Amino acid sequence: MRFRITLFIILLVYGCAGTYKNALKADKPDQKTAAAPLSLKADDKKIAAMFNNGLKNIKDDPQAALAIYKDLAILAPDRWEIYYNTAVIYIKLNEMKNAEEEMLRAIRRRAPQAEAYSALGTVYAGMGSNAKAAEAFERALNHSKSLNTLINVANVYQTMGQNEKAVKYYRQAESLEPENQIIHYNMGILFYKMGRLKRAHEEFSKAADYVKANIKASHSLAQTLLKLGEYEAALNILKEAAGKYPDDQDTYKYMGIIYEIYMDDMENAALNYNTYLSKGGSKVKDVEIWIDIVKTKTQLNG
Amino acid sequence: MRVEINIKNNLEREKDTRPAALYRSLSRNILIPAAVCLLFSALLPSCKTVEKSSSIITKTADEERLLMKVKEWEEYLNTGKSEAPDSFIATLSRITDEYLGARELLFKKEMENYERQMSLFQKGELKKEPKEPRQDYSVLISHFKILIEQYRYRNGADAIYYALAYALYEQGERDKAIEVFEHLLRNYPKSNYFLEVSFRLGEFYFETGQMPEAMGAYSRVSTTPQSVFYEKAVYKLGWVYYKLDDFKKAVDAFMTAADMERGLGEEAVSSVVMSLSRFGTMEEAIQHLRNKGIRKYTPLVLAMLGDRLAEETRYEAAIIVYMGIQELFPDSPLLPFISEKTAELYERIGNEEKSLTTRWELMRNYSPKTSWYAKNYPGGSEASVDNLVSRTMVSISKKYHIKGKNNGNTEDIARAIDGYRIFLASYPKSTELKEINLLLAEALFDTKNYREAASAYEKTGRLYPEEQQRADIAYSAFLAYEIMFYQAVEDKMESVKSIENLLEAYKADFSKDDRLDKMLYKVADMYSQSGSSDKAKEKLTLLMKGKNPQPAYEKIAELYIKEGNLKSAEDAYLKLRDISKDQNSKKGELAGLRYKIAEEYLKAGKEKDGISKLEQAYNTDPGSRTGEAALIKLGSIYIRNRDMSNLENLVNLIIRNYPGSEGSVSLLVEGGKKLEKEDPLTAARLYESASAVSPHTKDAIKLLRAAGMLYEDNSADAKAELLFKKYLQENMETGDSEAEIRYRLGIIQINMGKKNEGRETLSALLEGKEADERFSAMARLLIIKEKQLAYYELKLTQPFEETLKQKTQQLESLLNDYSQIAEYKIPELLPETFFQMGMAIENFRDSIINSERPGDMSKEEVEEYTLLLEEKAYPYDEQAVKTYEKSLTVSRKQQIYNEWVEKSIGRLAGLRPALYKREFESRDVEPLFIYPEPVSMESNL
Repeated sequence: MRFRITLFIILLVYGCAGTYKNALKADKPDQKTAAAPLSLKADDKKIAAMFNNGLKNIKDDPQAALAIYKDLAILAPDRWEIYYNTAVIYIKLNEMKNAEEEMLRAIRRRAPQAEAYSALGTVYAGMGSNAKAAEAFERALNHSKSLNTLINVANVYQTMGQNEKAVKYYRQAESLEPENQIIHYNMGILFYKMGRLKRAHEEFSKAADYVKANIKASHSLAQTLLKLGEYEAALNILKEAAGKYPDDQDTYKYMGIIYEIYMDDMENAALNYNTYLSKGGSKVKDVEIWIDIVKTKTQLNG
Repeated sequence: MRVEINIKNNLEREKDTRPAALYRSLSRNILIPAAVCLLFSALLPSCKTVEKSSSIITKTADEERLLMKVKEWEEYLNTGKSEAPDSFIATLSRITDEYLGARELLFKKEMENYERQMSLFQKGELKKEPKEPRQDYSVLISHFKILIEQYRYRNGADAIYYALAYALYEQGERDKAIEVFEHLLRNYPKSNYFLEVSFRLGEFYFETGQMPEAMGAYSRVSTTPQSVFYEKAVYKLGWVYYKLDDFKKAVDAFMTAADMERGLGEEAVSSVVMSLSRFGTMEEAIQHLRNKGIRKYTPLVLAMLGDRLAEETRYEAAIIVYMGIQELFPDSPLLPFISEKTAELYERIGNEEKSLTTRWELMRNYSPKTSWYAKNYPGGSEASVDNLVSRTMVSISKKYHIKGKNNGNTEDIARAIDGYRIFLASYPKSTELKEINLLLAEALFDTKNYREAASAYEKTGRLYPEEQQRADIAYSAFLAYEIMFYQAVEDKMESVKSIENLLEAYKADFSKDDRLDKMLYKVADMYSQSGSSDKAKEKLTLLMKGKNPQPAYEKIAELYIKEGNLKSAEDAYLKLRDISKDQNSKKGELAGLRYKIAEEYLKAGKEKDGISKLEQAYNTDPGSRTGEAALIKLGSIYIRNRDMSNLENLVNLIIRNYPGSEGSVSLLVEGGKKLEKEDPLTAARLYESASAVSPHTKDAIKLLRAAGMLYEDNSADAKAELLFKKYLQENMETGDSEAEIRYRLGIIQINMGKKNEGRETLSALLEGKEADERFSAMARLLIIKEKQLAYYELKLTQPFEETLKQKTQQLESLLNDYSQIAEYKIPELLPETFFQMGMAIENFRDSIINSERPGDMSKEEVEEYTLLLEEKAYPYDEQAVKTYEKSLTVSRKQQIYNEWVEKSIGRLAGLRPALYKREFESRDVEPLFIYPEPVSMESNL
């Protein structure tokens, strides 16, 4: 345990030593780590065994994996893979600053540029440093136009409001894998934000499987359809979502709104608003008023 | 041929000099008394011809001695009477013979002298014409007439009669002479002179045309076969029958003479032939011969008969006779010749087919390998037969060969093959062996027996020492093997192996010209087709080192292409180009190849290499279709990569180099489609460019429209306006499309601030006779909205009443206009119409509330004034809500939902939030990132 703490401190020291900009310029291996004492090196087989052990734990026990990789960084300080995977673990843990440091170390140890800068881009994106993220992704793209990098860089540009660039990269990604639903979903979001509802609807339709499997995506699609005047279709999407995720309160609220405002169906509107409340919807006050209005409208309609 | 000549000679003799022939025969073959001989010479002038021989003249040259003989006879005639009568007659008979002989010889001398004198006279060397001498037997005649009276009953009197008849005949007193002969026959039936005189009388009667008498006279002789006159008499009897048209009896008589096999044998045979030729039909003649029984000379007779008939141009009859020979004498040595003559006759009568088949039979039946030949020439050969049969074999086989080639009948060529083969088997030492072997090979080739043909060519090739011919023949073998190769379904390599052997055997011959190279190319091709690519290349490698390596490089390039080794193929073409020193050599092929290589690169994901190769393909053959295809392919890549800058440069290149090409339009359109969503302005530019270069007006206009709409949709109003105007100028078709564009143009113009122009455009749309109601309504709506803007601008200022009135009028006018729009009953326009009406009403309300206050009011008055205004405005608030709700109701009813419905709800949410403001905003939706996955280390250790 003490040994691990020591390692952690060493890593922090090394991690703080590098900055992003330096790392981008540092194509050569880090002289300090490259010159690590031979005595710290262990038998290759042992390192491999530890590395793989860490790899197995990343998904289910990232903390344990993290500890292994920190030990490994001492045993084999010149192996970029160790830092790369450590960064991946930090990303999973949403510890983006740590992730940034580890990824920069991996880059200094000659990690493949395309993969490393792409991963670094996701770190920056996670940190909200969109400009840095875009720069890292672009740099990765200079080495290889990988699908993931293209999607991610497009996402960053979307977030930055640089919609044309975003579309351009989504298209490039699409040309590599036309059926990729993530691309189409992201494009759907982009077009929705841009107010290009028809295009948004088209893209969401191409990502149908993903949309159905994701409640937020379903809401986005329903919203798009509603704005396109396809309120029955929107209602169907929501009904389907309610079937799949019956505990999602918002779905009922949205259905209630459609019934009340767009379809003048007060009975179903009341039913869904009530369901929203019964499922523990947070907007209790608002929805209770709406229910009263619905009742009044029902009375007025006779 | 010998037989033919004899027959002909005999016939001529028989026809023209029959008597002479008879007497020549007599003088040669019969031993007769001198008196008889003298008598003959007296009787017939021709006999004199015989006696004119120099030997006779030489023996009687002693004129003195002859005169003595004459004198002795004359003296004895005077003195002998004193002797005893029998002695006198006997002696007289003897010396009369000598006397007659001496007189004859002396007369000849006189004639010779006369002829010489006459010759001199004719030459003018003798002035007086000589007198022709005449034989004078008057002394004998006068004395013997007396003597026969005195001694008629004495022995030997018949001799006196005979001498008297002779002298009378010589003296020219023929009737008296015949009387004396007839008297002699009547009165001395046992005379030694009986048969002789009968025959002479027969001859006389025959000469004078007294055939019955001649028949009687000859018949008397024909009863005595022992007589020396028997053969002649029978022979002459045949002639008598012939003269009397009794040809059967004539044949019988002539055959009797022929059967004797004496001096008249040949004449008799000829006469048989002659008589047979006069039969009614030749079948009858042949049957008669058969009835008479086959003789040794029968085949000859029939052969002569056939020849005679042929000479008389009685060809069909001759053929019947020749056929008869073949039937009667199947083993006759004459048969080959008879067949040949038969074939010739068939030719003469124009029956080529029969002629051919006859010769075909000749060839098959009389070759040295036949039983006929073995029977006739056991253990030996006959040159004349061999010559005929071999010649026939060659000619008939060639004829069948040519015929078969001309008419395409393989059966004829098969016969030719048969003939050639029989010839080769029968005459292995023939000088024509080479030619026939070659012909056999050709015929086999012609009948598509390529395997045998090839073998025959090879065999023939070995017979020819001549290099050029040998090479030609061997090349034919090559061709046969080549065809075998291409016809073979399995085991094609067998042919290739044979060709390899052939090439080895005749390499030196083939090397004399360029054939070896050609053959090697073909062999390489065969190897290639058999899947032996390496062997093919081996052959081609040999050729690459030759004088003309270009085709080899070309071929090897093709092989590489076939193998799919395009890079090596490209290298081969480049090498070829270097060798030929012509940079344009094979540029089409090279360009095509590079295009294919580029396709492979692209398929393998090597885009950069693919682009480079496509550029090479274009540069290799810039003006070609391949070049154009390469550019178009490049364009597709640029489109895929959304590299529009390069795409546009490339399109310009296509336009420059391929003015009529539609590739540029296709690329621009394809690029436009690709970018329509993500980069609509670029897409619009591409469509615009495509429109400019499209050769088809309709397409150009459609592209113009698409470009304009994209510009419009993406706020490039100036460009959109330009293109829409152009569209309206160039589009010849009216209708919805034109109305829509006009409508859109109107919107753009208004949006651009060109309000007047916009209004004019929209007015033009409304004025259009065939304007679509929908666009008319939309245009009207747009015009009203413009009007509405003016309405919005109108503020309620002081004097309030006045401006209120104006604003009220404008509101009413607007609402009235919108009501008219509603009358179009275009459902999708209704929500907007109501929304706009609601907006106008809201504006009126706001205008009242925000109207200019009078300047001279106190604060309290202002507050009171404001309350009054609010009261006045409130109904409009309610009216606006109702109008928006109307929009909502209509949309539900018409199942129409668009931005105007959404806007109406928005306004209702603003005006009546409790009723209409509902939260339908999900939490901020963000795009999904793809997070990195951990990497494995194993491979790096």
